[in-house]
Amino acid sequence: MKELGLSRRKLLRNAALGTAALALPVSRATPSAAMVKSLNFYSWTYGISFVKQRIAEFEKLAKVKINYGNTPGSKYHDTLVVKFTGKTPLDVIYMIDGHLAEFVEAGWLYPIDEFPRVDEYRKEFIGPTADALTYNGKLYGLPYYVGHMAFLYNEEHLEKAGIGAPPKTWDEVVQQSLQIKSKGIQEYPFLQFLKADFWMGEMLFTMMYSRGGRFVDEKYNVMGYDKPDSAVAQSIQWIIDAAKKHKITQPGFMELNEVAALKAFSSGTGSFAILPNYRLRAANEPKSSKVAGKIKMALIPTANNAKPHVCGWTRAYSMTASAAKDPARKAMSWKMVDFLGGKDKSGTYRTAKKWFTEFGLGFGHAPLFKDPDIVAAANKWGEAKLFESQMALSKPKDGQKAVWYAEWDQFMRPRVHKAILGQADIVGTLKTLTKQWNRLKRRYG
Amino acid sequence: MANILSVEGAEPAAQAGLKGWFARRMQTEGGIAAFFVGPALLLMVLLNIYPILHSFYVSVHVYNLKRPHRNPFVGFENYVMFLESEDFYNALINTVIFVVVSVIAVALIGLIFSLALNELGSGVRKWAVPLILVPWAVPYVANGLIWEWIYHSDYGVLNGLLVALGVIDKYQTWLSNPDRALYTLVNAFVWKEVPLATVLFLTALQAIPEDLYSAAKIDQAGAPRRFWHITLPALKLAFLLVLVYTSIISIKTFDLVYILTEGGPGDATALVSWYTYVETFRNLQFGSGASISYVIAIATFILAIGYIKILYRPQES
Repeated sequence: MKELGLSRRKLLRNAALGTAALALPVSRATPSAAMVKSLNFYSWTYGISFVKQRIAEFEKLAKVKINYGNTPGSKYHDTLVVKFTGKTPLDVIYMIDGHLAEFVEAGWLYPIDEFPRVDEYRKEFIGPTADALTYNGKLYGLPYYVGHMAFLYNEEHLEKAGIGAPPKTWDEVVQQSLQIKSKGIQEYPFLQFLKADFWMGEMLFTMMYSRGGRFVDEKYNVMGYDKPDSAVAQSIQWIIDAAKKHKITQPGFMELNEVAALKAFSSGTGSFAILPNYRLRAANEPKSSKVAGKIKMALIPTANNAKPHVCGWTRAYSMTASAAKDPARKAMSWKMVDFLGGKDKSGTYRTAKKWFTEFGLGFGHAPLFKDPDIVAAANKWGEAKLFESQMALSKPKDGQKAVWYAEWDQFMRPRVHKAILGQADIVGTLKTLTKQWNRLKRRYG
Repeated sequence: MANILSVEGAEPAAQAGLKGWFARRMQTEGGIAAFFVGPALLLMVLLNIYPILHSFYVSVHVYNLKRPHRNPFVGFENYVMFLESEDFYNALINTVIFVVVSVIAVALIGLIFSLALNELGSGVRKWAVPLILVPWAVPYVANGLIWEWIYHSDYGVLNGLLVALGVIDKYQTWLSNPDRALYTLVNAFVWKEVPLATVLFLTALQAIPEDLYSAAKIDQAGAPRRFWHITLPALKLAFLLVLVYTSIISIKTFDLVYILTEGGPGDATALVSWYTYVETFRNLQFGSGASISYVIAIATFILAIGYIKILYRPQES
């Protein structure tokens, strides 16, 4: 190196600057953004080292200091509410599509339609992404990741039990679980998690969608949700039977949250589980999973001849309304949103791609399905085609864009728990939930 | 007495204007007191009184963050609304059970521990007291996480221990069993709060003159009578402190619910504090959240007054 007239430090610096120059769409820098010395960025706790790495790159390129904070995902909504009401400075945040309506109505978010290349990005969003991030016709962020609930199974358990293929229907889930149980492979083959927290809605919607059920239509009218033979009634009954009649579900499933379920599944507990799709990567990671290489994904089992639909979601990088009050801060916040959620100079969705290859997080950009690195990474721990098929069959929670959705969701959790516990009857519970939905609709509508 | 703030060479009465008024005020005891207490009082008004008044203002308006620009005055409608709510009554019953069981358990266990510690030599006590205070020093959230691990139905230490001791033959669910869940929270709460109660009782026990016990022994009084007639009356103030403090803390308990159960299973562990939290930060209904907070604060205040009326006699102190 010395011969070339380069010190190691110089080489590293130049390499870093070169990489950074590729990553940042420099031409989009606006003069006013340069006036901002610092930005406040807030996220939930996931892949922190990678997030910090990207922040460091952005800081260097945009010459801005990022004040970064994070909190666990299960507490994210509440923490943001406290921060927004307490007027804590926030400029760029992670956004959950299910909270979009209430956050926009509260005046906390700023739409990004006015910024360059947004239309180009929007055209490349997959399936429900654009809709998930749009409220009252305005787009409120670029996708951080797109995910859905996925049916995972332990291939080794199935082989030991002499089962040739994963279940295609919910009845088969019961039969195969009983078979696994009878051979002493697992006492509780179906690993269920149903703590009354954030994930409960995703789980119930997935079980309902896979039976062909709906909750509300586009105008928020309830669609037979409270009928005795509704898909959601069948789902709740299935959960009860799995736990009490067949005893294929572990007894403590109502205290188990999503992270604990992943840990249990990765430690070899359970043969089947419904988890977020990106957990497939973690469950097959040798450093953290005892069953690495044995966990596979299948399309969600169905009933009533329904298509294997699952509940899906979109998470985004969004700009806050307070950031948009100052033109310079607004420009810099957009640069950051674009840096994280958009393309780099080479035309690649660099952050999204890395999230998938390193962490298994799904993406919201159609071109990435054809990216050779993505396909190779997907085939390493699963089947790329299967991922695409299940992703195409994912749907956001019905009604989640109603401003009262989160309030209804909170009302729903303890009541469904009570129905599962046998403290309330299923149809009565669903009638109560329908009544509450209509009451809230009248109040806010 | 010449006041340090009086202006030299001038009679205060002769001074005019604000300066004169100030100098005259500083000649009185009340004026001096106001001068020194004033800044602290001002801070208190800003930091305590203003938020209390503002929260009352919020509680009589619609403050729904999903409709941030519509804040009509609704009088006591928010109060009526939650008082009519079934969920609130369920939370209230849970809270009453939680508070009553917790307060009794903390007071009784604290008393027993303090009596045992009091019998130990001062050398042992010197080490035992700081050790016993450890749970009290654990932050509430950390306490919740510790108990989450202990209670876990699949790998929890409690199940492991009880199975090893032969008390149960297979792992039990603690947090997802609606009949047990509330008491598991009580247990976690008591574990944290007993140490302080123990130290308060111990301090009171050590202040009892040894002569009283010697005299009672001469009068042939047995241990139960000595406890009843000497120890217990001497612990009245300590009881007052323990009861008031534990009641307030238990009514406010939120962290354990937040970490361990989120109010579940069903609504078995939904306390009033949790109900308030959900209404405020999940449903974004700050108006009705503030109204519930007001009622809890008033109920706590009345409870504390009740304890003081029953237990506090100034002449005894």
